[in-house]
Amino acid sequence: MDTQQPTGDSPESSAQGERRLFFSSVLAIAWVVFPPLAGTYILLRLGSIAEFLSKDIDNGWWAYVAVFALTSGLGLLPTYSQSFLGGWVFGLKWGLLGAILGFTGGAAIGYLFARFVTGTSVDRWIDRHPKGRVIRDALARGSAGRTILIITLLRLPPNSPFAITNLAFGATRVPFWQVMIATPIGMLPRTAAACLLASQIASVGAQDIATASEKSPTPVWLWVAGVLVSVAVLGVISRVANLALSQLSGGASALRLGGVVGGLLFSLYLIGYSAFVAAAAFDTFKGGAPVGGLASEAFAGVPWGIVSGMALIAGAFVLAVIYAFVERAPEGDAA
Amino acid sequence: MIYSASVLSIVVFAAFVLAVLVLSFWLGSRARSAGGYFAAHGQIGWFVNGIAFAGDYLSAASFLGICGMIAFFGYDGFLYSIGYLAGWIVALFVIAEPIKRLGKYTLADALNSRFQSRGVKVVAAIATLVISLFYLVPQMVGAGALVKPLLGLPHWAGVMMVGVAVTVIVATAGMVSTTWVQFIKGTLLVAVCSVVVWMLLQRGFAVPSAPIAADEVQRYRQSSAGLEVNGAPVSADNQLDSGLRARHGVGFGSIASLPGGVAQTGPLGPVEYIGTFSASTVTTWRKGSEPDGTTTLTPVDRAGSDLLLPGANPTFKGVRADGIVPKLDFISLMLALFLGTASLPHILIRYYTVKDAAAARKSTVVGIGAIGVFYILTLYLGIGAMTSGALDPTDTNMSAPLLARTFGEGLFAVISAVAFTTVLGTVSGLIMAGAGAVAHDLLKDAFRMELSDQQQVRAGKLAAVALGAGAIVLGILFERMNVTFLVGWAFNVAASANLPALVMLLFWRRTTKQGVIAAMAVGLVSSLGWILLSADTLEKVYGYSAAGAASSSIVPFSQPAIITVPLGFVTLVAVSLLTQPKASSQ
Repeated sequence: MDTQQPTGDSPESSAQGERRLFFSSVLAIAWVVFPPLAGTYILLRLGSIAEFLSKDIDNGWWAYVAVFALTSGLGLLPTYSQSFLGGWVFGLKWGLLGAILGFTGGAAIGYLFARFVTGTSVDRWIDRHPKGRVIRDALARGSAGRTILIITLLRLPPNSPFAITNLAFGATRVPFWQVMIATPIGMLPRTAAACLLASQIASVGAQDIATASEKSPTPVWLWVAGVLVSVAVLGVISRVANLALSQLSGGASALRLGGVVGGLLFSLYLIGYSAFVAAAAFDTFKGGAPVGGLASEAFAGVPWGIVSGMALIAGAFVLAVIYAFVERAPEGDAA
Repeated sequence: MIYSASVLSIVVFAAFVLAVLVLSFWLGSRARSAGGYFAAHGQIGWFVNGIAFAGDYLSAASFLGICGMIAFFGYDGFLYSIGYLAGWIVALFVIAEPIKRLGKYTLADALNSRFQSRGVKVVAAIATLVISLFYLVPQMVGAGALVKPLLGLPHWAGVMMVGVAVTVIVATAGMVSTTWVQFIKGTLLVAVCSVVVWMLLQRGFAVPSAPIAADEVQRYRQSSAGLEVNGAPVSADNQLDSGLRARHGVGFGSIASLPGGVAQTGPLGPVEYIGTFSASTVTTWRKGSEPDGTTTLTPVDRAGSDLLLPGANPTFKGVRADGIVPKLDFISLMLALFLGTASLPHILIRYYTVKDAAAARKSTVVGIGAIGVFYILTLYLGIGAMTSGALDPTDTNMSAPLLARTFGEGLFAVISAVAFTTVLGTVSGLIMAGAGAVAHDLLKDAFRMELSDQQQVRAGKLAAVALGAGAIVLGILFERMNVTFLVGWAFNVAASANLPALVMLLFWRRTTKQGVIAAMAVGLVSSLGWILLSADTLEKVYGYSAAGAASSSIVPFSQPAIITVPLGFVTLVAVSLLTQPKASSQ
């Protein structure tokens, strides 16, 4: 069991501690207020920012990753608008990769910055508050696997604030490497959703969201339905994550890892199955003729329709085995 | 087409059925109590139960129906494989463990665990009976289809044989023997199909000795003098494919050209097999009719790549259309398949045959593995049947056994016997579910009849006999329908009637008994009503022409789940909120 020990920093004086606590509070407020304002600005100026990045697409991508890391790490920009920008300019594949790299860099910067600003002040403040201590201990004093799971769950919900969670991880001294592993995993679903939506809208040649619906051959109500389905799927993920977190904050004995993992695996499969049905229905034919989607060749002359179907069948078994492994309990234990 | 029976086929078939019946009688002597009869004392091991899941689930629809649909329409049949398997994810992650903890013998036990309500019991029992009957029909149709080529008997004789055999199995030993029949059948099905697929890959593809011309139309007509094939009375020497075989060396369904212009490929790997098929041209047969009632079969060459796309089957043709409404049939069916598995009563009662929730979970994982392997095999079996020159264009359900016949009578006999035990296994499970609903839920709990343990078992056996008789009648009436298509309806009804109540009971604390009753009743009636008024039913059951069915139908598409499942959830939430218990005043 890889158990975390209390911090090894030297004790600070009371005045220093109060000062650091004040700066931590200022940082928290700034990281709550700034991102939504800046995010709205980005979405309004999407067309011109995209044009700027597209001028030199290779360097633009690296610039996007670097700026993403810096601004999200310093809590200047929200992650969803930057993900959207990535999907809009670079398409789903490169936009998603860039956004995930940016997130991971941003998490590193935010974590280290928060740790520098807060020192041990927050840790000691938490020690004086029993409820906070339970949450902190659940987060940072368990095994590595458990901590990674909690960070992943905290990152999963679409409404989870990126900067403020970095502050929490840094202030409570969660091990750095565990944050680096869990962040890209937890951020993946919502980032993929944002990049996919943006790439689809951008593919019709619109300069901003307002003109996208006019230029798209897809009826507006279908866009709305697609967004609602995405919100529903992400909502299921959020619900599972929040349920798991509420169990975890109740103490180690309340954790049923299998239940949490089962919910996540189910959500993962649901997304895959929905994507498959959507691809068959909306992305494979136009005017009765195959245009892509399941009709595209995957490899060796085998179309994506066969590959994705086989993957769904084999994937179900793989997920079932993972679940059985995580949930393994002695015979007779009614779980 | 007519078929002639072989002695080998009859011997192998008789041996299989006899072995199954003997096993049933032997095991039957070990289950006397209600717990033994309805739930095998909860002592089945998780691995055996997992394979029995596969035996229960891999019905005639999966084996005969899917292979037939792939053989005739390509990828559309594989969509059923994907949807059927995906449904197990819901069963594993959402339903399996809670249903084991909440229930005892039947689905109604679980649904009623919080309420002790007669209303819930009655509605759940009715839903179980209706869904089981819907699921029974295609199994019986499959049985009838099998005995025609195997024993040379008419359709009704096959239906009668299955009906009688299964009734004997269920009425003698209940869940213990049903479980072992399903275990043996599941094992045999996966093993034998794996062998056939291996042989297919070794054989590869070949083009006929002479190409089939576009004007080689084949004709058959049912007249007062009997069946006529290409203008002459049908006989052993004048079957529908006799002329084709004489000229080209193959019957219906063959490769027109292979990539690179080669005549045959030789052995192929699994990926290579699909890739080669995709790059080939396949001779398919389009059915038509002439004014005098003659049915015509016209050869149509199609690209293999096109056959590996959805939309060739009438059920899925909307996928290729541009509008959203035509696509709803496809989306709705995929939703029903995803949600329906975890709502099927005969699958859910299998969770009561293991001792605890952990065993329920493990057996589901084993079941998913076995079922997943089989569904991957269906793609190869279907493509093999499509290209081996052995299709019966009048009967999609016979594609897999006829494919086996291209490897020899022995394999044909074995696979037909396995298919027959497939039907036996699934029908046993369905009749068990129905018998439990009648004896345990309706008579004992809903009608409050004072029944001893022995009397419950006797009532269950009588119910099994009645259900078996009903299944025989329906199996004869629905002879011409593709069994997978029929099972699609059962999934729609199961998902609409049972799933909202099951899920909300497990995950929403404010669910009330009134909400459960209303949701099940609305889901059941709305899905049934939708199906009975759909264009598909008007055409395939009531005998309307395609155009007449489309214009007369009052529902916009045929698969109801996309409407009726949400309707069930909305009903449950609304009624539950209106019937919340008043807070107690300390």
